[in-house]
This record gives sequence, C-alpha cells and structure tokens, in this order.
Amino acid sequence: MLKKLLKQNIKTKGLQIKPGLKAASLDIAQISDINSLVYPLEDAKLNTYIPTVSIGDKVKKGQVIAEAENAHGLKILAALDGVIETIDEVKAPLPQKITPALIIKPDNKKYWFDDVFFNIDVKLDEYPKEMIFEKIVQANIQGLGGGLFLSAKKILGSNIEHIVLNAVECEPILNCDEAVLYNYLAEVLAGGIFLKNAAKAKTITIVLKENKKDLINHISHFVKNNEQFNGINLATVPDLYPSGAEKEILKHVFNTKLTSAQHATDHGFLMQNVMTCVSIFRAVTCDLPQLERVFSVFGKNIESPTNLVAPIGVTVEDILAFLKIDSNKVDSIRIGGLMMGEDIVKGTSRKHSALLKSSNGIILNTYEDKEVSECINCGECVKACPVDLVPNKMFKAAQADDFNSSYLKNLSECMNCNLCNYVCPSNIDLVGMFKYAKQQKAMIQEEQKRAEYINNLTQKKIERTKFEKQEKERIKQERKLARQKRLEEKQKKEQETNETTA
Amino acid sequence: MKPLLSLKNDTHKIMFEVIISLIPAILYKVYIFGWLGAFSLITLIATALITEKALSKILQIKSDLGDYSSLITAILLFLALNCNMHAFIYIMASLVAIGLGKIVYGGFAKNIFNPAMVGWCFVMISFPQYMTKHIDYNNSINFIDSLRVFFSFYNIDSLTQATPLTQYKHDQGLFDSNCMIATLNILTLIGGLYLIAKRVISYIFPLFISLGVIVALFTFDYELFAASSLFFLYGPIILAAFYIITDPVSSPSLVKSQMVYSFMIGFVSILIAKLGVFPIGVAFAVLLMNSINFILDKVFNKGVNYETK
Repeated sequence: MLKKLLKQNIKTKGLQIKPGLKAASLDIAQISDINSLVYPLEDAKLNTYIPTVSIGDKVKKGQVIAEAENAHGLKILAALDGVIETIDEVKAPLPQKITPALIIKPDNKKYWFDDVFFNIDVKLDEYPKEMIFEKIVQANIQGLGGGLFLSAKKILGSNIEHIVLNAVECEPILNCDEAVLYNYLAEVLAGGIFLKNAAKAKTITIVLKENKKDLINHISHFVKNNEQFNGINLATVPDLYPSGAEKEILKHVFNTKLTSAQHATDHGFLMQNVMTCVSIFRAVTCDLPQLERVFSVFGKNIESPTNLVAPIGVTVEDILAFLKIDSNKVDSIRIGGLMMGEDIVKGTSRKHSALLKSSNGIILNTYEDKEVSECINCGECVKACPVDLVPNKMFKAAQADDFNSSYLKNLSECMNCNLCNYVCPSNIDLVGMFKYAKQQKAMIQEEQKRAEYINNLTQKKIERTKFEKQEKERIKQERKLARQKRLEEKQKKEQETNETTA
Repeated sequence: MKPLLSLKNDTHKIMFEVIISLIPAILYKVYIFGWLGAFSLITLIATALITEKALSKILQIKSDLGDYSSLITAILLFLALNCNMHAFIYIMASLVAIGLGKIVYGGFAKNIFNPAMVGWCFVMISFPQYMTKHIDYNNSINFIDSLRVFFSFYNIDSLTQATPLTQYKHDQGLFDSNCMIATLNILTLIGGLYLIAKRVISYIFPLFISLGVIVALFTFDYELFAASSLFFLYGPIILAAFYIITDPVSSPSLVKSQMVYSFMIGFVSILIAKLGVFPIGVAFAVLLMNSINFILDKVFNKGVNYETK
C-alpha cells in the first residue's frame, strides 16, 4: 500500500508553453500539385543511404530507391511514379546540415491520397499474426512520431504485454495527431489491434492530453459503441511539455521508470504513434506502403494554418504554393515542432528542402535572433529540466571539455527537449552544447574501446612470445638432457665393452 | 532559440529589476544620513564603474552585463557600510570589491565570492574603528561640514554613536530607540518581496537564513525575542537574505544545496557574533559558504540516481 502511494508520487515535470500562434484546423487537406520529390540520402540520425537506382530510371510508386548503409532494414521508397532526375548533384537542406539528395520527377503532377476506410464487417482478429508482421516489414513502416524506429523491430521485442498508442503531442500548437484521430479513429484503433495481435500483447492503451476533453469524449463513445474495440483503455497525461516523450508517458501512466540504456520494449511496452497505426492498418488490409504522412503547417503571420497529407519527399516550395503563401515573405522554415524542431539552414533553396518522414510540422517565420550573454547561474534550467539534470553545471563542464565531470555522468538521460534553452534568461544554447558533449563522449568511448582492444592484442602477443621463448628453452633443455643421457649411456656401453674385452 | 514566446525573464531585465527594487532603500538612506550619504553613494558607484571599465579594458574582458553587476555591487556596499567614513575608504571598498572580488577571476559571472562582501570584509578588517559607529542622525550636518568630514581625517567622534548591534554586543541589551534603521530594513524587505513576486529570486534563501538565525539564537541561549528583533530589524540579516546570498553567481543552483547554504549562513553569522569580536558575522559566513557551494552542489547532485549501465 505504502509502496503504491510512494510510486504515485512520480510526477511529470514540465512547463506549459503557450505561444501566440494560431493552431491548424482539424480537417486534413490533400496537397494537389507536386513538381518534384526530394529524398535526402542522409537522415537526422546520421544514417546514410545508398541509391539502388540510377539516373533516368523509371520508378513505380512504392519501389525501393535507396537502402541504408549501416542500419539494417531502413529503406527509402518512391512515393509516386516517375523518373529519377538527379542523384547526389543537388544538396538538400536538413536541419543544421546539407546533404546530397535524390530527386524524382513525377509523371503526373496531380496527386491524390488513396483513402482506405475501416469496414465494420471485417473481423480484425482473423488476420494471422505472421501475415501482419510480414506486411509491416514489406510496407517499410517506421514510427512517425519522430523516432523513426522500424515498427517490425519493435514487435520482435520479447514479451510485449501492453500496446500504447501515443497521441499526446506535447509540442505546442501542433495538432496533426489530433486531426488524425478525428478523421481516422477507426483505422487507428484497428492498427492498434493488428499490433496487439502481431506482438501477442494483452492490452491496448491510448494516451491523450488531459485538456483535450472533446477528443476524449469522442474516443470513449466510439470505443463503447463498437464491439471490436471494446477492450481499449484511455489514459491521460497533464498538459505539459514534454509529457509526450516515451519515458515521460511510461513514468506517468504506468509508473515505470526507464534508464537511458533501456527501451520501452524491455519493460513489455510497445509504443506507437497514432499515425503509424494508420499506416499499419493500410499496409495490412490493402498492402499500401508507408508513403504519406500528415503534418501541420503554421507560423507567424500565417492566416490559414492547415493540416496536410502529402507524400514524404514533397518540397517546401510545393507546400507553400498549395497553401498560397508567398515564398518571398517566409524568412525561416522550421521542420519539426516549435520546441524540438530545428530551422533549416538559411539561404538554401526551398525547391530542395523536403518533408521528411519524421517531420510532424512545418513552421514558418519563427526564427528570432537573440542576444547571448553570460550564464549567471540563476538555476532556471535546473528547475525546468524534466529529467532532473543540472544543465548550467553540465554546460560549464562541457565547455571546459571535462567529460569525466560528475555532472556529465547522466548526460545520456538528456532527451534534447530544449526546455533549458527555453527558460534561459541569457539565451544560451545549452542543448547544442550537450549534443556536442554527447558526440565527444561517444568518440572518447570508442577510442577507449579501440585502445583496450589494441592493448589486449599486445598483451596477448607478449604472452605468446614469452610462452614461445619458454617453450624453446624447455625444448633446448630437454635436448641437452637427452644428449647428456645418450653420452652417458655411450660411455657406459664403452666401459662395459672395455670391461668385457678386458 | 526561443520561438515567439514572450520572455519571462531576461538577464538584463533581472539586473534592472534588482536595481529598481533597491531604489526606495537607497533614497531613504541618503535622506537619513544627509550629505555624507550622498557623497558615499556617489564615490562608491563612480569607483566601481571606473574600476570595472579600466580593468576590463586592460584584461580585454567583454561584457555589458558587468557594468550592471558593478552598479549593484556598489549599491549593496552603500547599504552595508556606514556613512561616517573618509572618501579613501569608500574608494578602497569599491576597488577591492570589483577588482579582487570579480575581475581577477575573469570578469562577471566567473567569480567565486560575492564581490560586495569581499569589499566589505576588507574594510571591516582594515578600518574596524569606523565600522562599529554611525552618524548620529539627530545632528544634521551641513554641506560644508560634510565635505570637510568626507575629505579630511577630521575627527567626527562627537557626531557618531555606536550602532545598535555594537551597543548590544558590549552592553547586552538597551538599544537605539530611533527607528530609522528599522525603517531602512523594512524598505529593503519590501524590495526583496517585490523581487520574489517578480520571480527574480527564490523564497528559499530568506526563509532558510531566518531559520538558521533563529536556530542559532536558540542554541546559543540568546533572549530569543529581543535578540531576533535586534538582528532582523537593526542588523544586516534582511539585506543579506534578499540581496547578498541570493546573488546567483556565487550561490548554489540545486534547491537542496540552496537550503543548506542559506541555513548555514544564518547559523554561522550568529556563531561568529557569539564567539568573535564582531557584532555579527554575516559577511564572513557568506564568504565561507561561497567557497563551498560547489561542493554542496556536487554532493546533492548525487541524489539524482540513475542506474549506470
């Protein structure tokens, strides 16, 4: 009893962030004209992709055009029929860097989204487990929440008991998941049930923000009125940023604390974004690969923010043209959410900045130049940090390249939520420094591993040569002894023969 | 980095708020001590700013926040020092506070000790005869006399009296019935509460320093009510609680260590008053705790335990 009470005290820490921006409407619009599709051959997680097609090749919708070099199973699929225009020639701007890209010119400019709706007569439990898994693999389904984990890999995790459908969207203003829930609720839940069957899990829980009362009512009504979905639970988390992170949800809803080295699957939880569930539903019932995603477009001075569905790879230029926004009036483009997203490099062509699989929003005109001053040690970041780190001291340690400092011991717990940057009165880019420190730490570890490996080898060599030397000595000794024995025997014999002759 | 969100606090704004909140106390102190008050204030501020500018230029330290912080240091020195001293002493106090307290460590936000307290301690140890007395504000001194007092070593013993704390130290009991110092402290308190309301400083510091003082008074057998009203109303505790120990640069950043830090300052101040020759030892306690606040942070940081794999 006491343990239970104590456990309930684990609270989500965070902040309510309410910027003065207009949220997008909950209808999902379809993009109509597509001039080109751009696929950067590198992603935010430093995976590089190698194209499997060459310039001038005709590709079909859903065809594999590139495969990841170092991460097994990651692929890029063509979202439309078309011709490969260029490879590697053009650089596509990603947040904070520029990478080579592959460009497809679609045959048909007009685009429409194949809507697939859930049919009540279909019995979801009749789909066999193996088939669901195979189709998820075939459709190249990755988590659309931003992690880009392969769903198939998550299902393979042993002993999964609970499926968690994440619809929290703690990023301020963003509401594409909410729009998906309003428009494709049955498909989301059906996808959840497929996941449950494939992973042999016991429960499904859908997690929402507390303050979205209408949506909660809508879902609970829907679940009650449909027999197939009766077992699905609803859970809520407080309206704070970053309560939608995987670890925060597990901490708040399921009282499970993860360390940085663990994944949710290690504790029997499989968490998927709701949009991924729609992809799974489409893949399992109609063999449609994951080619599209829903995202919000909004920003400063944007009068009609919209939720859009578009194929992955569509350019920002096409999106702006569709929304009738004058491209010259847009000074900055942020891909991702307001807090965790990053501005694409300034001065790069909008023709080549593409919608990525992980981008849940495209935010315009939010870049502000801020004057940076010294850290006065005010402790605002310490109060704000959701994982109880000490950002100001960590910053100073990282600045001094003191990676052995006790403050940097738990650096891997930092999930780059950017709250410390947000509250810092001196506008210091703490998270940037932590990213640098993480890289450095990883490099140091690798170096250590290599040094250890080499050390091991040399140690072994020394031992071997020592052993060989000993062995040689031993053999020498033995031979010496043998020779002496032989000599003695010879002498004995000679003596004997001498005696006998005498 | 901060997208579209109205700034809650900005470092410049924080500094500005601190200065704003000190204005009533400054004006009142100048009012009660007359021309001598005004002279000392001007001398302290001018010396602080000149020192900051000159040393920054020599050492090539670039910081626009440094000027603000020097101004605050000078104001705090003004509120902490008595107004009966020679100009030279004020110049020394400011010079030591900015030069030895701040610039030698590499400029603003890199100092370990609170600059104002470094300056104050220097003056306290070098010129103790001035520090235990203050101008008797019942005698008003005119402009010419004030100038003469300020710029020559003119004996003004006839014009001064012991501070209430000194009186208490020597006579045990019987203190100044004049409530001007108490009013000054109350104005400081109001400024401090304003800062708490504006979320510039945390309430933890004043709360725990008071706790520390009260616990110390209790342990050392002081007459609890009389002594605490003396230390809080006529002593420097309020100034320290809201303005000195809350200096973010020289205080710890974890809440738990802030608690220990302020409690210990309160306790050690009274300990020094009880055992030492000084009427109260806030400044020494602050310097002592400044020097170990890094250790405090390290100790309490280990309270956050993630399994390391």
